Amino acid sequence: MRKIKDKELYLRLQRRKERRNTKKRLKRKRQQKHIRRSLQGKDTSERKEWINIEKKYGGNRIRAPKILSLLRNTEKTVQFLQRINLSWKERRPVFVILTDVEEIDYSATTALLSLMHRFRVINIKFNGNFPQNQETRKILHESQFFEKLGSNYPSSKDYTVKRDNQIIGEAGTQTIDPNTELEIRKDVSQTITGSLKYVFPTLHPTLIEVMQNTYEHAGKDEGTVHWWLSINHNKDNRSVTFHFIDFGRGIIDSVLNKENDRITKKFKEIAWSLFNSGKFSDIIIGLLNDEHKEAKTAYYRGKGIPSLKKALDHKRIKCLSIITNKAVVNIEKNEINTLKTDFTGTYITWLLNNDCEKKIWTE
Amino acid sequence: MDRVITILVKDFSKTPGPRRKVEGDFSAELFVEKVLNPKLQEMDVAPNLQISIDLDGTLGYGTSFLEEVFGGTARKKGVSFVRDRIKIISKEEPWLIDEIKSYVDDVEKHNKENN
Repeated sequence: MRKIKDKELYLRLQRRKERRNTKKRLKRKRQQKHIRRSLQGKDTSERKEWINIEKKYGGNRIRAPKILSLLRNTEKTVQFLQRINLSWKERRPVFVILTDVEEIDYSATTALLSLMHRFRVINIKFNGNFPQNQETRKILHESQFFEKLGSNYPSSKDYTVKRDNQIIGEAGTQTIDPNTELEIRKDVSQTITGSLKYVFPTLHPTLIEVMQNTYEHAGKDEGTVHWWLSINHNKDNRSVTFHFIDFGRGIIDSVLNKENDRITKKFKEIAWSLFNSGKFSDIIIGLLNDEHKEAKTAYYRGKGIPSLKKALDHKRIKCLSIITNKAVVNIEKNEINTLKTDFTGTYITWLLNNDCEKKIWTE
Repeated sequence: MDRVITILVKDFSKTPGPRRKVEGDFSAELFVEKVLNPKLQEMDVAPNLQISIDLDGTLGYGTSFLEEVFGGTARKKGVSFVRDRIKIISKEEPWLIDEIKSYVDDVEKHNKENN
């Protein structure tokens, strides 16, 4: 230890040391107070569980909102998902609390799976608890959330025929396996028409468009972001809903050609807002109407998103909605909202039912 | 008399894929390489030869597949080549014909702007 001969310097260093120690002491006191308050009213087993979580996950608990749905409770669900996403980015273990969830839908199960799988892929500790609500628990199990979470390398080839609810994903980030699509065609035809002999012309093209967008635009480099697709059959309504998600940079980010640097991103957001009176959601509307040609890498590309709108206009798909970055757009109802939290990813949902155009399928 | 060769896309795949080979199976790139190019080479030596591409019998087409096949051919061989010597058949989804025409029109427009 070096000797400090200057008395003033010595005193200054001592005072600095004391301030640091006081801060640490106060922080420790606050943490202990927090622990005492959290453990109040808990029995022994709950206390043990709580302390275990503290030790394993560094106290990083993320509580899900009561209504966990990207469609019905978008803001709070996005905040919840982004907190998990942030933990992933910071490589922090996480414990997801689903106890209070009273309503959940397949948009949320797909998004949650997509996020939690990222933890698994790079071996970050994660865990969670089950919802107390039985109905919610049932939906979570039926959605294949736990089955897919356990798989190391999800593939669109892992499709279960005649299953009402399932999630498929592609770790290779390519488009969907062709044989799987042929099976999906059968199941969709059976659910909607009661017969295997039909095909909906937008089934395959829509999947190709959204998956190709993920491949080309979601990551900084092509083919670096995984996608997940939930297919949900409603036999009562004779409809099939698709929920597609990826946690890339989002459509608006890729249009504004943002870097991953936070300062540049913020600057470009502000700059865009100053020179455009519209909202971020307007960028999605512009894309759907085949505007924003400057965002395209070549003049002949970027026709995928407009084709979704054309399909909707011609009633070949229904209920098309997109959530990406700060934009929530229900294209069918023409409803546009802006989120307070940036959803770093792209979520697209659509539905097929008997009102949609179909043709006879020839084997 | 013009001879017409018919290409049935469903013989290539019932699920025509994305634009490029790296993006997935049965891509437009693969279709052009394996199916279309050999016919185009035949057409080069036989000026009376025409191609008819039948789009029926598949699960459908992504925009990029059609653009790469027809727009890509227009970029390589010229817009008039596609308009005069390639016939498109699509009875199940007749709107695809107009879509393809728009891709070829885009190529023509781009060529004019750059000349």
